[in-house]
Amino acid sequence: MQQLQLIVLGAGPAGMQAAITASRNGVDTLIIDQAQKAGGQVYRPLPTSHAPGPDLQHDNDFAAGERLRQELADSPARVAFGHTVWRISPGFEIEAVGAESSKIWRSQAVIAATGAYERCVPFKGWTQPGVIGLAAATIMLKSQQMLPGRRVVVAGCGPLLAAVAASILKGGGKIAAIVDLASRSEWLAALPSLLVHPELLVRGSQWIAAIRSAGVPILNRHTVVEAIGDDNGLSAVLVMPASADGTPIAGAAPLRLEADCLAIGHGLVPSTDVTRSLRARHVYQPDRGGWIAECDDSHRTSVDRLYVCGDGAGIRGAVSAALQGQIAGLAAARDLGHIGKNIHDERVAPLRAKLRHAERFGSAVARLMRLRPAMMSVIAADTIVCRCEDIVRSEIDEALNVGAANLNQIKAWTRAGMGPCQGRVCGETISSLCAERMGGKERVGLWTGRLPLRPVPMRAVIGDYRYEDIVWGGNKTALDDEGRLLKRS
Amino acid sequence: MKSFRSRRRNPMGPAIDFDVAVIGGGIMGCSTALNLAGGGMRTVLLERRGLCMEASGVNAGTLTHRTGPVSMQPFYTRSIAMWKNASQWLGDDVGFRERGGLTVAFNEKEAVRATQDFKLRKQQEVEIELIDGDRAREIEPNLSKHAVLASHFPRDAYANSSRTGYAFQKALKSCGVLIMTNSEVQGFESGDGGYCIRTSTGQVTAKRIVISSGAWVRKVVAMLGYQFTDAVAVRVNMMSVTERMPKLFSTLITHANSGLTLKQPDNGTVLIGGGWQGRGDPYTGQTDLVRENVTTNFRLAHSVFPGIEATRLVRTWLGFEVRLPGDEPMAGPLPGISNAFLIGGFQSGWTGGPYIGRLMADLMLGRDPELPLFDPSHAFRRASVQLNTPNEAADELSVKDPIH
Repeated sequence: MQQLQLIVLGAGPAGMQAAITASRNGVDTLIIDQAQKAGGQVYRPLPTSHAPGPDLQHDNDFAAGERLRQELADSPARVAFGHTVWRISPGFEIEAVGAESSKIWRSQAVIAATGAYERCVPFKGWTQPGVIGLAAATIMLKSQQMLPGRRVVVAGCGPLLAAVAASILKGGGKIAAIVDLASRSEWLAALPSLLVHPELLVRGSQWIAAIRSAGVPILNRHTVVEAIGDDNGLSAVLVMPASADGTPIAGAAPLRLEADCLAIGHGLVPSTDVTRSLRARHVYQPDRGGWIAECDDSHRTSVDRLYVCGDGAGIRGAVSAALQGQIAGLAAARDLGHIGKNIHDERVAPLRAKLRHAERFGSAVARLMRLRPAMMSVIAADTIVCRCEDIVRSEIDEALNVGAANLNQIKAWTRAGMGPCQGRVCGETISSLCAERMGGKERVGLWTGRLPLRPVPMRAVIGDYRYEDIVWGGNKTALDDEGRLLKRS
Repeated sequence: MKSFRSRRRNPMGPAIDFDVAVIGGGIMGCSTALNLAGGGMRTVLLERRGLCMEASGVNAGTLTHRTGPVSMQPFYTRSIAMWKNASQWLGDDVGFRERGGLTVAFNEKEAVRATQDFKLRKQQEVEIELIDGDRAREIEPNLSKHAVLASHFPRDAYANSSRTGYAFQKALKSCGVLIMTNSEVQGFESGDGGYCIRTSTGQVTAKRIVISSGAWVRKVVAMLGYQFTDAVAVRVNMMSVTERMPKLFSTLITHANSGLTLKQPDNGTVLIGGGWQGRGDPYTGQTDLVRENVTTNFRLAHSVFPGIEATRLVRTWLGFEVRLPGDEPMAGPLPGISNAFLIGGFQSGWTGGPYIGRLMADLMLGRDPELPLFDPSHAFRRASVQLNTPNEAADELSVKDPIH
């Protein structure tokens, strides 16, 4: 088993910067990611089979990703890519499976930079083939260089709408319409904060210009109410005008859009599996995407030597994530005794100043992508809310009527969240439905973090063995009721 | 949750709100409460989280006739029979499936052990037959070719323990039990012919109390001024579930050496249990896997059904099962204090819960329990700490005799 001083989980902008910073400051660092190369979602690398075409050579994100990958490669940090971490123990022991083998490491400190995943708000037909997430569409376009459909409805909220639509047009696809929950005035209100990063705003305007010149209808303050199709795919999408809370305006006529793909996303949810699993304290902050690990301004969580940065610490986007990564990397270097207080404070001060600046942009974007809870309230009784287990809304309501005490009990009673997505897809929906009845997300609580962090092949956990060598004894009682080893034999 | 304090002080109102307060909403508490209410007692159930969210809701749902020591067999056989008709007395079948069970042996030593166990169980009138490996493979075609012998229990079954709380919450409500969830007991005061119980969501008064607090029993008992004579131990039982896979087997599988339970419910997931230990602390809720034990547990499962390697592990979890001093189950009155009862410390308590809770209620309702219960008095000593007594009523308080 390899011993390290620091393990960074996740190699997006936050994780890469954390690993670069910590290792340059003398910390023996390893960075682990599921993907074959660093980059995360925003700087997602091409698959090894793909070579970057001429258009990508001029893509800002791709270039930034390449620079950061190079910087990481030049740093003293070690890497373990192509490894899925499935187990983390207090203290810290980390186990991952790779294509060829499993690995176990021990580390004195951990920085969780595990990013975010897409928020799904169920509507009629959302589990229909041909309905995909906005972030999923981004991955297909950016990394696989693939169109998600021939004629696509792009729907939901936030800047991904324009980014996805523009990429589809660029790739030769058609956009039936952009269906945006936000009104123009919401976008205008965000504008001053977005000006913090003029280069990003310029890119946004370029997307909008491309969309306009292609004659794509933009339906502001509209929402998708139904995806129509069969097992062979999607045929049409029904949309309706929405009120500010995201719910369709009663009595308004639905608009039918013919399409073979609906790319829809309602913002991002911080990925908290690592911090929940280690029982760090969490707080609910809707403007940061929901539940996040509580942390100080050096990104230390309530668990000793566990740090969190990037979108996993609250949705703020790539620029903030990179700065947070550097701050967390410095904090780890300081806490592990590699740099003193003065050097730490001197180096962290300009980063914090930049972060304050970047946060304005990040928080404006996060606000555009925040959950509109009323959208959860109007989910129909027979709409599936947990797609792994085929649980419909009325089953959740029934459990609430009986008097479920919290979110974990809803899971036990209905099986919602027990499937292979491990609650990532349905978590926000179920907790929102509960919050409405129990009086807020804080009362509903969080799903208890459980291992594995990701589903793991049984083959990898079992390993090679001979039956005769199985060691017995681990099923005997050994602990008292406060977790201490019992002395009696 | 409203406080009952004001009612208690009201001279026109009843002095005591409830005939009995059950402290701890696991299977023992729920089952006892259901039977007490059925016997006419005004019952309140106090639970720090939600019903059956700890050991009673996170166990593997095993209902085998080889549970626990042979001396406990009559209790468990009767309790499994109760689970079988749970839809009648509980109003919910809790996913009960009588699929039969196989206890598998892979070598001579294990076969000897299985044979000895067979003889003992047979004497207890358990429906059981000893079969060879080929016959076992007729029952379970995907069973490993290395299995040499098996005990076959045609009446073995399993249910879905995670629905236990759901079923009991509905049943308890419908027979008038007040369920106070998210209500952690913080202390007792006695007097006025009963107990006043302070909880995190208000106070209740009751003539009797039943302590059914599972792994949290020591601190509840301490609030009454009692100590156990020895350490209270916890088993931190690990369970795991895989992704759904095509049908691999249908019976409940156990291993001749113990250490394994396997079931594949209708949804195709495979549930792996067997009492392998993790680490954890009931009071903080922190738990952790012991990697070697994961390995062993899964290797045993794989030895039985090699086909299990084709699926993925989706979730593991750990449940706290209490072991009282002497590893003895307890169900009966606390010594030296009136109207306080304790129930807990059973091996596979979830399996036995329906029946043992009924016996406990019978005892408290003044009926003769069908089988003798388990007097806890020898396991306690009085601590120097006595019950907290409220100043305004100190003169009328008597710890040893709250009610006559």
